[in-house]
Amino acid sequence: MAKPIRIVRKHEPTPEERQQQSMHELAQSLTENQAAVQQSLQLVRELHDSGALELVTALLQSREQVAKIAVSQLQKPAMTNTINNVMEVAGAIGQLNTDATKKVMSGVVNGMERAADVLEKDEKIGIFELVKALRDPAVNRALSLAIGFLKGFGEKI
Amino acid sequence: METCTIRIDGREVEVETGKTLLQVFLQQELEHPHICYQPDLGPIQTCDTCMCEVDGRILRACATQVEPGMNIERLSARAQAAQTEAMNRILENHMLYCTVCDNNNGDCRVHNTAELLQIEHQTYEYKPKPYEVDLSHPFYRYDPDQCILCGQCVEACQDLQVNETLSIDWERDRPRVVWDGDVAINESSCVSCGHCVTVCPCNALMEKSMLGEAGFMSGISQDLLLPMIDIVKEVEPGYSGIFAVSEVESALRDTRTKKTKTVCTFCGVGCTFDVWTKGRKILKVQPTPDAPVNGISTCVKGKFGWDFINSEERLTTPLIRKGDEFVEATWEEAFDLIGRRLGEIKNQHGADALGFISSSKVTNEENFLMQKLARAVIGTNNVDNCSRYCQSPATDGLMRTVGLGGDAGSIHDLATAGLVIIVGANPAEAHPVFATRIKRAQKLHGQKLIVADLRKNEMAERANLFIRPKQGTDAIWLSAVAKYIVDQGWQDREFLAAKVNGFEEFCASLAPYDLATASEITGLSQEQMIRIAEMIRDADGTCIAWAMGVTQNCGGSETSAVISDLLLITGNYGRPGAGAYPLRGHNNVQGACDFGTLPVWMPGYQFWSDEPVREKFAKAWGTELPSTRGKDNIQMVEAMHNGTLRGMYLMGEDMAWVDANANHVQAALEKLEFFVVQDLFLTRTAQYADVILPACPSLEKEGTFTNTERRIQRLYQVMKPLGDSRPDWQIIQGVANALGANWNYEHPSEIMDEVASLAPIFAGVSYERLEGFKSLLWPVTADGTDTPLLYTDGFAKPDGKAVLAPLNYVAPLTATEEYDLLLNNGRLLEHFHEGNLTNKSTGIQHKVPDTFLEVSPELAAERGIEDGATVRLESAYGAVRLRVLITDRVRGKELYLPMNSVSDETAVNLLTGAGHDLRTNTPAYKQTYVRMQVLIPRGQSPLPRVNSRFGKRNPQQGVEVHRKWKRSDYRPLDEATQELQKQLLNQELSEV
Repeated sequence: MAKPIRIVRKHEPTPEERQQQSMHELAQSLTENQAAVQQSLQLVRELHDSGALELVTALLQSREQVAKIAVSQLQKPAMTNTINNVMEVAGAIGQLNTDATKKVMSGVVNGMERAADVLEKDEKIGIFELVKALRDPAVNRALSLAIGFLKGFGEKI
Repeated sequence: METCTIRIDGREVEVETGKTLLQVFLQQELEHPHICYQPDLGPIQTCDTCMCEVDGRILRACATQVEPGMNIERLSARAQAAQTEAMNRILENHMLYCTVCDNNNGDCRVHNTAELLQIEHQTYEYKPKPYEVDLSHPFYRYDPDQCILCGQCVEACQDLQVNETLSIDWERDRPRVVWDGDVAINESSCVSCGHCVTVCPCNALMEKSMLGEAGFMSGISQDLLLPMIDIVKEVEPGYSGIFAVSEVESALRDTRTKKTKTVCTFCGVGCTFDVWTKGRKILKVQPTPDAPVNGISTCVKGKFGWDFINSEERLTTPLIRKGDEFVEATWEEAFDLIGRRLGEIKNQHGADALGFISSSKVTNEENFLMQKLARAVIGTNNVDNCSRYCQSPATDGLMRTVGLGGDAGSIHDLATAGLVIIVGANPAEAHPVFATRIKRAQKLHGQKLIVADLRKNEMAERANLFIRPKQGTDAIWLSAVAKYIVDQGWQDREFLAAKVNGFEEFCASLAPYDLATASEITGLSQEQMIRIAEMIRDADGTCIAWAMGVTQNCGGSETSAVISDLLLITGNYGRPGAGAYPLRGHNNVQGACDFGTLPVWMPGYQFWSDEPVREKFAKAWGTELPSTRGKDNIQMVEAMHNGTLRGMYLMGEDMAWVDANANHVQAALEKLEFFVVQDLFLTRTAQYADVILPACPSLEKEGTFTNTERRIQRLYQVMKPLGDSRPDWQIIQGVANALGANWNYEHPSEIMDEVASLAPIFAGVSYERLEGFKSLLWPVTADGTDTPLLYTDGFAKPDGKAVLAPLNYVAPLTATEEYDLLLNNGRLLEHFHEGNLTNKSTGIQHKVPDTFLEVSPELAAERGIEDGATVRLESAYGAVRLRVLITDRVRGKELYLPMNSVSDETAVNLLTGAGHDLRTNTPAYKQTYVRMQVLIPRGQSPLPRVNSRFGKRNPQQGVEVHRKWKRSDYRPLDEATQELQKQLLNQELSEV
């Protein structure tokens, strides 16, 4: 024989009970992941000793402000220009033929070594040596390459 | 299946004829660009990205049919140029910020197509549109700035949902999607069905629940977000880089966004869809073309009505009555108490002193366990479910005539019938997705529609023929139509001779009901009835769908039998596009009946007193079956009143409000010695309980539901039970074990396996066969063959022949001098039944905060009342007090009171209670008569202006892409459209 009722006596956990429940769940998590937790502690310790932890914490705390600053810096024309230029250069590098680059670079290296030798010897050259140099197959090749480069460069600009 | 050979990209392929190129590409799993094609809508040709080169001409793949010998180049220079140009035009309308966009979930068509076409830079600069974002609607928003004008939303609204609210104003300088005649979404005729948001290929239309939640960065505040987007644009990287980043972000989302398939928990259509969740937060409901019943369709409840899952009012611990309050208890305490008290009552007064009320909302497995608990553990047949209030008469009528109590076919038959007749049903509001298929068939494919109802509901407005017979006289006009058909010789003689018994007796019973007599009784004209007969004669397949307008009457089962008779004499069974469709109301009321929570039917419709049946179950369950006939709901209420039923275990049913004669039922509940209620919320019924058990809704458990098509579908667990609530099957098991049952089911699939072994019509049902979006329509043979269409091999009767039931007219109750107004009652679109689930949704409450009384303009004038008047209605059983809405949906002295109320002031069942169906005891809810007393003659309308009923629809022929092509700024990419553009412009010139 039951009249209709609606009141529910809810058991509201006291703050102590809630804390106890939380602590219990936390302890369980810690024990289940003991190895990982201990390693994390080690990492945190290192970060703390080096001062990096404090720095990163501060950065995160002010993350929105920092993000806004970063974004407003990035928005400056000089910045977007730089990014654009870097991207263009990177793009261009992507188009260079690797073998050609290899040859050119090994040439540069060798050339630098020869130049260093010359500097040490402190040789002087006159007109005669110049003309002889033009007939040197290596120098000739270098000059042809340079002219070829100038041609190609001139075609595109 | 006819095939032919064509060449695609230089390769010879054999393909089905009758398909479009795009369909073939998708079938062959070739990645081809397309944005505006949706399988459930058909091609609408608005995005132009699917262009390809066919035999030298540029054509749209979506709209071009396969022809033998075709040579198709999808990747030729010309094809790619056209595709890229089309994509660029789209990007002019849409800002790409995928990484921070809520739609970047791997399925964004704009993103995926732009990526596929390897767009590096867009050729047209993005141009924002001069319109504000529309945030007015509670569930979704439209951002014109992101809208690519693909028109899928318009096409879906106009031709699939056929609510005809959306259109694109192509003639404007900057076209946009408009609602009705360009009003705010929340002030339009939008019924919140969700089609438009579901089909939108980008983030122009988004569910509000997704905004700021779906992505890791999509919730960033605007003052940080916009500068970030600007930087990316200034830096002008190629899109391939940006896409890579957004792909990564999208992949990250997958780790956090869960997508789980479920079956809708509301009505009997049985829509299935994926629920996207983030923890317990529901991000959105996403239907898919893979869903067998609904495809991409939904209604407001299925798409947006899930707030109740996380409602603060959810029960989360068992409660035990102590004095004047309920006290929280543990499951052990609850089970102990229940086991002890139920056991005591059984021992002292016998098993039949206990009653079991099952739920039409819980799963098949849970229903099976409930009746097993009643029969095998307690030893009583006193078990019933709410089909008693609803379609039991239809089941009775069908079992008498054709042998099985279920829909003759599926939604596809409703969509392909030549004629659909709806009697006493309101599918546009009660089975919305079914109604969409009927509306679409009528609008696009010439299907004819007849509606017989007291009320001018949406389907009545759209009907080719709308008749309004006097309440409860449907059996007469149906019989008169049948008699006329036979008199004219239009019956299907072959069918009758080969497959049907009882024709002579049936015709004899029709003799008194010639057209003149029928006209007299029903109030219809003879012409109307003749017209109906003619339309049935002329139709290639007739489906008759009916619901409470037929069944909730004293003659409900007899009328249902006559409907079946009419279909039988015209040969409308056992063939596609025809048959009987009693529309089941709940998501699982069909399943509840199928799995045996009925007093006289065991699982699988095996009669309780058949000896072989009793032996089989006794052997399987290790106990004798009870030998007393069980009581139904109504008989149990009587038994509670006279003290013979002393204890009850009720699951998922707000009996105090949904039974007829609420006062009487509530008084009965008070008399119970021990009452256990299992539910999600502390309902009115639960207020009478001694023990309340917290159960889980569909999203928190596994199981299956059976919809009105007899289709069994699996639901998967989306999230864990809330608090200490448990799935109903676990709770029932706990109660059974507290009574010594020793059950140990570990998963619902085990329960289904047991049922399959005991019920022949479910022999081949198993969880493997129901995985994903697969489904089975029973009967299912052991090898897994199911039955989408019934009776193709004969009827479910001993000799394979149907039996015509002779007409037995039960005249309805009528008005008296004291109670002079008819109180029609039923559902409404936005709320589900009494509203325990949907009244937890803020958006739905915003649209329909309360129930209201529909009064006709004539009656209002007579009684001197206006909109918002407060009136008191009184019947022989009780009284309510509520506000009035004046509408011509009702006429004369007929009122309509929707059932969405759990309040002592306004619940309709305080007034019902007169009469029951002759054969099944279903209360005659529809034969309620009241008197009205005016308390306050005018006031604030009980239905807010934002309700869709006040909007004005804007019917169009779909998206009407030709109006886009007529624009001077549209340059066609293919020759055919170019030709068409010239024609259209010439036409216009000549009309000037």
